[in-house]
Amino acid sequence: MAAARDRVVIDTDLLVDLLRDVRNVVDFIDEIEKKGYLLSTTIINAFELFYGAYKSKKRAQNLAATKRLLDRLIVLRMNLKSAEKAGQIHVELEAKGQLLGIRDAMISAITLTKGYSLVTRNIQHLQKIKELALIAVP
Amino acid sequence: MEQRKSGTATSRRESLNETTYYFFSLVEEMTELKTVKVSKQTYSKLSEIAGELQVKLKRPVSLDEAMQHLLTSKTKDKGIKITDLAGSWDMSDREWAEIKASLSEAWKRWQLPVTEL
Repeated sequence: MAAARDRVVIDTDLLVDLLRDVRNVVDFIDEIEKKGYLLSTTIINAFELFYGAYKSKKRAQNLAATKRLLDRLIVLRMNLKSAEKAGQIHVELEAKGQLLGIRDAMISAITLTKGYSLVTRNIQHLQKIKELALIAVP
Repeated sequence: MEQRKSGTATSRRESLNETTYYFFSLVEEMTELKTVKVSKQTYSKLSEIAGELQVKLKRPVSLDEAMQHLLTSKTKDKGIKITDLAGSWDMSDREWAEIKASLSEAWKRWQLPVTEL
């Protein structure tokens, strides 16, 4: 499935920066939101956000904010197709000696199979996955 | 009587033609469709939303259209913006760096403690 540039998965680091009010990230997300992009994240990123909130000193506040954020985003789930793709990505890169974490393989596979582009800071690392459409944060 | 019979036959034929037309339209549409299973509760809520949309748009609205509406309106409707939540986490750079390192370790371990059932 060809990736649509106006349907994006936002990676955990950027969502955390948004929640922590890191200005350039907030401005970037604001810009793509105004352009009418469909903003989403994956169930893996949702896990990471919850992990961060539960681990934090201000657990109750951060947990409530996490739930509000995830309620406003489309959360893409893993299915059989994306599970297969994640397995394929991981094994093919492993065979080339290019290691990629399980987490990156799963997020990439969900993004790819649903026809989204991935907004991330991890461009260099994820470029190993040729079919994956990536958007860098300025 | 003859006329009535003939009239009934014509209207049945028209009705059949109409049914055939809708059948083929449906088949044509179905080639682009996928089946999803939803709970009774979700189905009922979706039907409600489709009904509300139907009133608003003054035309028939399918469940598929209702779902698309929900997906695209989630971030656009009611003036709700994702960026309204900027700054809603209270966490220093240092705390986030520690949590991130801990998360990275958790991914490397990739297993949960085994508990007896």
